[in-house]
Amino acid sequence: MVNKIRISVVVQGTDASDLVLTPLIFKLEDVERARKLGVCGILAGTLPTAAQQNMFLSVPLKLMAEEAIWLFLSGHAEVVHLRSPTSSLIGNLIKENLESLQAANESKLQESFRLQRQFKVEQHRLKLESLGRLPPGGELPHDPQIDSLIDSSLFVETANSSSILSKLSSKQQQDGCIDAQIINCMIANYSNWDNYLLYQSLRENGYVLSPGARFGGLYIAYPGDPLRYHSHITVQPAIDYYKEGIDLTLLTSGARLGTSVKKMWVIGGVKNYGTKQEELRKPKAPADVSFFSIEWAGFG
Amino acid sequence: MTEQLENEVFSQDGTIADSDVEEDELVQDWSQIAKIAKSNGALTIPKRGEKDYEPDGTDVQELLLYKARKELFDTLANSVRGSTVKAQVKALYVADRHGAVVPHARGNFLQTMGKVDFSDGQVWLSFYEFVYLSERGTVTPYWGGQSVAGENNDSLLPLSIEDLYILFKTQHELDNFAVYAHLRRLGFIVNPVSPSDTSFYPNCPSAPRTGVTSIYRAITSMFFLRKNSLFNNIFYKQWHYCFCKYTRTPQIYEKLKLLVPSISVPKTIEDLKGFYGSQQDYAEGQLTLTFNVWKPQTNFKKKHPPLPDYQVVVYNKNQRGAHFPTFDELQNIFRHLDYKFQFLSEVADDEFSWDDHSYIVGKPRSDVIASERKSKDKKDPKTPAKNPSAKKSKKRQLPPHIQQLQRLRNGYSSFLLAVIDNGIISFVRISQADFASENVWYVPPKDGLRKKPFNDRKKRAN
Amino acid sequence: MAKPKGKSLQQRYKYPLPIHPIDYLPSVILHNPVSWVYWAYCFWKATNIPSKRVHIEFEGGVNFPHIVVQDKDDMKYLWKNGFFGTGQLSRSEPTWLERQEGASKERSNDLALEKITERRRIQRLEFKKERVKLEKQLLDLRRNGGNIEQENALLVQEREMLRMFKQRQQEEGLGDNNSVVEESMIEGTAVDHEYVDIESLELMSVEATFLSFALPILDISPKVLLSRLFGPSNDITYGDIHKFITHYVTYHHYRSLGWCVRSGIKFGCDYLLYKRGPPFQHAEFCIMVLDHDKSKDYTWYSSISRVIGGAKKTCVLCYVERLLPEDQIVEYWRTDNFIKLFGSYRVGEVIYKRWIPGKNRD
Repeated sequence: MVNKIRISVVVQGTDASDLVLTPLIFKLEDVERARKLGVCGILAGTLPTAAQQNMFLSVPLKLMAEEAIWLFLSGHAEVVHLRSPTSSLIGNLIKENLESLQAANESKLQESFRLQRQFKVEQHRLKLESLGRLPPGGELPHDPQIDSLIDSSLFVETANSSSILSKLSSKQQQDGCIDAQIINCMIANYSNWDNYLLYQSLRENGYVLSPGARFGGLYIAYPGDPLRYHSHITVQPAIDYYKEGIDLTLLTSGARLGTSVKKMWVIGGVKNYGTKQEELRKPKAPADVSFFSIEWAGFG
Repeated sequence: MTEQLENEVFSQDGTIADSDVEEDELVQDWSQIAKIAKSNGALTIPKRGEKDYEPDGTDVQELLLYKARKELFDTLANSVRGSTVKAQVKALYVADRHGAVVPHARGNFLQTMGKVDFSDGQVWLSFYEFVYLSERGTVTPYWGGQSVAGENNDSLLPLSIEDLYILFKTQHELDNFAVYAHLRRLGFIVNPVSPSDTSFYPNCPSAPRTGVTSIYRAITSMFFLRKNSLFNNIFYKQWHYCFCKYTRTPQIYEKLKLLVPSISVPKTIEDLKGFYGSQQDYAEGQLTLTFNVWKPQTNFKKKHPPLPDYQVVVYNKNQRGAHFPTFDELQNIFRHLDYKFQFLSEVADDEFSWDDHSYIVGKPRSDVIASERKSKDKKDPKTPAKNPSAKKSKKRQLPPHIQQLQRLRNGYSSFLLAVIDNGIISFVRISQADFASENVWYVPPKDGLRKKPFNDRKKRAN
Repeated sequence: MAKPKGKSLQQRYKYPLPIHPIDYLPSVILHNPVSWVYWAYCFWKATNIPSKRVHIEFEGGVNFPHIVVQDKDDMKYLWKNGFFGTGQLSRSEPTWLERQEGASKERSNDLALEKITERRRIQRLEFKKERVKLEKQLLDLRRNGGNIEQENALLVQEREMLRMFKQRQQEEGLGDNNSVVEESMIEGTAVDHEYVDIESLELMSVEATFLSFALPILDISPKVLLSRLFGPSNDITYGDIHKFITHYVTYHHYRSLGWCVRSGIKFGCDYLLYKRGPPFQHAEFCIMVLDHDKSKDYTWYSSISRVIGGAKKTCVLCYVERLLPEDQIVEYWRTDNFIKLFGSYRVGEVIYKRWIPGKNRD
């Protein structure tokens, strides 16, 4: 069975008024898998090999609430949530598992050193070969100076994803009910269910969505992976189009903006039949979601 | 070379693009960064590249996508975080202090980060600094225990990036960190706002204000209103034109101006002092000034920094309950501003010395720096060197209407609003404006009295 | 820009307001007492108020009345003295008749704003057609199994072709009048080869209020004007008039400082500020009117500032604060005490501008 994508989330507060922090992904493989599923997120960590710019960043990957929920509801991801104060959680995990964690860390470190030494020695040998100072396939003589040089240049890696958290008991990790509650909190903290329905509907139509506030919308939609395509849609927050109106000034400026950044201005709505508040919380049928686009005509 | 390349980012057709301007319009091209990453990586074992995916079919589009993705993930995989044994600086996170102690602190980062704790003589990093430097690889993070007392160094457990992020306590802290890191990466020096900062104002803001002076301040500072004139009642009646004859258009404008009061804005040092004194405490849930930001500079004095160049407010637009500030909230933020008010130096004719207007616990910064230098140079007294960055640039005198336009465009006091949208950070500069202080009406010349400029005839001939 | 024939811009738009200063008094010869008397007589007779008031009509339904000026001279007067109003069939200045008449006469080198827009639209369409053609070529290559190198080569070639096409278009410029598409002729407007001017000048409600309340230009009193726009004053609630008042206060504020204030709809904002008027320079500032205690969603600010920034203008948020209770304001409205009404609002401004960290490091 393939492991699910792991989304880490910190939950703050008591059960009654939970505040959920941004959902994050740390494993590179998970970032890749999410991307292939159409969830791109926003990379937010410094890229150590090009640390003085903000355009290309590394993990953690920050997810929109909609993205995290979509991955969870579609069965691709598990949401590992950790209740604050997390420092005591980590402190306790370390205390309880100190020896095994240390042993694991030490063996990983030594293995990494071993591979590095092996690689560097081989590189050194190849260099001497190419310089003609060693016959091809020849043995490298033992040289303490080279050894110490290699030792001091060994790289100690800071891992991206946590080994400490892997010590969480299976009971602590898998608890389906709590996940659903976390989902509700996430939506309540950052978005709403109508917007989620828009997200879901657009995803079903093959679009990849990213945060869109700087383009004057809720999301921007790409026809595929953002690495290859420009986005050509700006999606507005959901409205109940049977009842709510659209402000004409907003419409004009939105259409004008759309023209200048070459994106279509799209507004989506969810049909609310006036059902009870509780029912509104659950995802509804896709047929209830409609989209409209507005263009500035005659503009060339 | 790599440093230069890092600061320039390449757009798809090979032209260099500013990494911050319209980055959203450019399709991300990881191929250039991939090259940089390969040459910069300290970990030289190739982690990826040998294993290959099979692209599906010979569809060119698929192939291009596959290539683009490969570049992205190879680069990420190759950009291993950490440090060589030789250069390793360990930082130990201590839960009670929510910060990290650095037992053997060394490196350039100490110029602008870290603080020496006088109780144990060690360098401590704030949580933001700790996470930022760990991501960069400048320090390697370890668990230092719940409180300072005793984990012994040999059994230290390293922390992963995930562990660090798990330690963020609130969404606010996470958002603040995002802005912190964003600006730090670009070379800015960033520190949280604190009461002990260098201040533009000689009096400590927390100094107890006596009842009388606070009332006085409130009265004088709150009422920057245009005076409503009784004349208004006459001007808008038609019959007043029978006996009021206007011979020049500005006279009419002056009368029109009297109707609508507008809020005036502090433009001089005295104005600013009064304005600052009338600040109120931030209400619950309001956005507040979070960071002081300095432009990249060498010789940054960590203990007694100069006035910040900018002050930043952090705003997460997605969070329930967060809203763009109302006007009153903006005004309150303006009242709290305490930074290098650039518009003052633009108005001044001669050199405006910022050090004379910066105060550290009530004393002018120029004095503090001089006395520190004196104690350092006790052995060999030298004449205090002039601040090398003080440029004696002669300001080109622009024509007054251009100056007026610039004043209007730039405004007066300002702050930066860092808006976070699900991880994407954009900045907005919000400045106070005062259109009512600038009259822009044109005075048509009296007929017959105006001499045509000499060149006008020449133009006509052409 | 439309170049006025003969007179310079300074002369053509001499007065920034429809109220002219008395600047035509005879000169006084100090040693000649007769000239004093003559001067005094002229002074006594002179008045700032224009001799004839401008007449306005209300078109359209009761709910959304349009305020229009139909007399040709009045239209010209309002336009030339402060650039009030918009021609209903033009971009801004009411030039419809001139353009129709110009279309059938000898082509002159002067081009109205509308013609320039028309020309640009055509050029853009042609460019797009060209681009679609080239994109199709690219797609065909892909379909026929071309490899990446071939594709890149074709891309480079196509980009060059498009660049040259654009350059050619720019060189052609606007000179080639013969291929300009005729503006559609509106039926019934040509009577015996003479055009009937069906264009009116439409005023915004704030403009009409300014020209009635602040300066006595229109032939309607503020009371009548506002009751036509908002209904009988006895039925008014504060909510009906709040938006109008905040907008008027802002309009008056900027007009009184010397700015020429016009509608900002084409940039998605409330008002545009011109230093002297549209023919002189592009607008510098875009004004958005906001309530001082309200807040909008961030995407609103971001979207508007983006459009404004894209047009290289400065975005100004103008906050209007009501200083008296609502019912007091309604009372002023009912008793036609507009002076106190408009004077009970206070204006504060803030400039909103995108900030790029990378550009602000030195």
